Amino acid sequence: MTGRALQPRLLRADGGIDTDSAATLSATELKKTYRSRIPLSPTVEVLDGASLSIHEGELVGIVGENGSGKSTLMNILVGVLDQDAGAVEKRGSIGWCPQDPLLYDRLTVRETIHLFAEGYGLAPRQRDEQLDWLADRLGYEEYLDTRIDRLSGGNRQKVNLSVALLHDPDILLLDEPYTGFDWETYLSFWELTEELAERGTGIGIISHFVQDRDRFDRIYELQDGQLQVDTEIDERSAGPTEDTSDGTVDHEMSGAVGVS
Amino acid sequence: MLLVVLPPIVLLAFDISLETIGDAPGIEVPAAAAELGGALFATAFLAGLLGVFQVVGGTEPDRRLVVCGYQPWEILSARLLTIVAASALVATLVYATFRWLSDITPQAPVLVIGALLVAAVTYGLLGVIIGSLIGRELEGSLILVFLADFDAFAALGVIPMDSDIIDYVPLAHPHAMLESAVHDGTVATGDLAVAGTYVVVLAVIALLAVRIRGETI
Repeated sequence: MTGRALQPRLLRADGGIDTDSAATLSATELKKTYRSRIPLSPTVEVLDGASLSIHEGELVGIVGENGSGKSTLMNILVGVLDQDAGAVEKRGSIGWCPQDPLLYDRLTVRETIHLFAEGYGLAPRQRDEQLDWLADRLGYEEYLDTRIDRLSGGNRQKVNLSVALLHDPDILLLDEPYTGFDWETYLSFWELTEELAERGTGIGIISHFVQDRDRFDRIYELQDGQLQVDTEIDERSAGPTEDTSDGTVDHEMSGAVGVS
Repeated sequence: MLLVVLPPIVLLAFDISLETIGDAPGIEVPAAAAELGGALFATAFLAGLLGVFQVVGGTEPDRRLVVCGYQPWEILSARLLTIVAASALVATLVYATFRWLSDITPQAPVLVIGALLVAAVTYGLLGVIIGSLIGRELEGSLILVFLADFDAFAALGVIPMDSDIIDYVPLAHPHAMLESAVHDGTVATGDLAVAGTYVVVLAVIALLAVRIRGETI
């Protein structure tokens, strides 16, 4: 992958991530309430003092029940939604993969990549190299000239993820990025994620998969508007997980994540 | 496809319906009313639809473009230019259909297209507002067709309506401009000024509506 030079992970002597160093991304005491503009409709308090940090080369998981505010948190971290209180500090460029593929239906895959590459400021040659690499890695080379609205859900999600990875960002924020992936692409995704973390990318992933817990350096659980660190793992283990019977990754298979 | 198929269907429908209405006692159907009304409705409806589709499902990925590095003003400018370009296309196609189906030779073709363009931009912006408020293509399209239909008929002045609201419907002044351009070869400055004011006000409301929609998604 082109872009930044290889960066060593910030490992402590015991093998854990050096979380004492300055965070690549930090959020402090975030608060967010959705206030209805229609009278008598409910006001929804989503975040009430949520704080987190993601360091260079760290893989952080964000979990929580449905409706707990995970996507709201991510939208605030990315900068597409303003918080009511609190601060977000970022060092470096951001790659964002939202839960719903925010893509233009009438563009082809290639046109989509070209459009976003223009925004990232990528030179045409770099753009084309990245596209070839991502299409090969995630397995959608044959769909490059297919319109987005004619792709399957899984392929659309691959393009969604590719837009986030296109410019080799310093910080990667992914909201359930492998929904609809087939098993091989799912494994390929985790290989790619580990490579990026090895190179120093700070990665935050909203995930519902219990089986993925051991892949993360830290897990935050969002509950009652606040983030609690679920566990700290010194070394990520990426052991094999079970295949599903139809070869696709089932979004609903995991169940609740326990708090340690 | 809709841009090509709809205008002749609408013009023919207006022709048939106004012929029937004209048979009613006390109703006077002015010359070219069917053609002008049909042209106005087709323009308004098509442009309004494009406005709705601009917003519903179209502006959500815009937030991602901002994250990628585009400036908000660049995206906004692109959206506004799209509405103007789409309006120009609609106005031109409707004018071509009008010339094809009508026996009337407009005195000032450029002014006729200009009047249709004003109607198109007005309804393109209305479509953006409706799309932002409703958030759904089907419901937005239905509201648009009823609004454009009532507006086009009210502006024609064929059916006597004892209400001041007729003077304030969005197509009232574009209709006056269209009629004047077709029959007299001119456009009244007052009509142009009021129609232009409508466009400016709707543009401001449309920007606010899109922004509010973006905050509540």
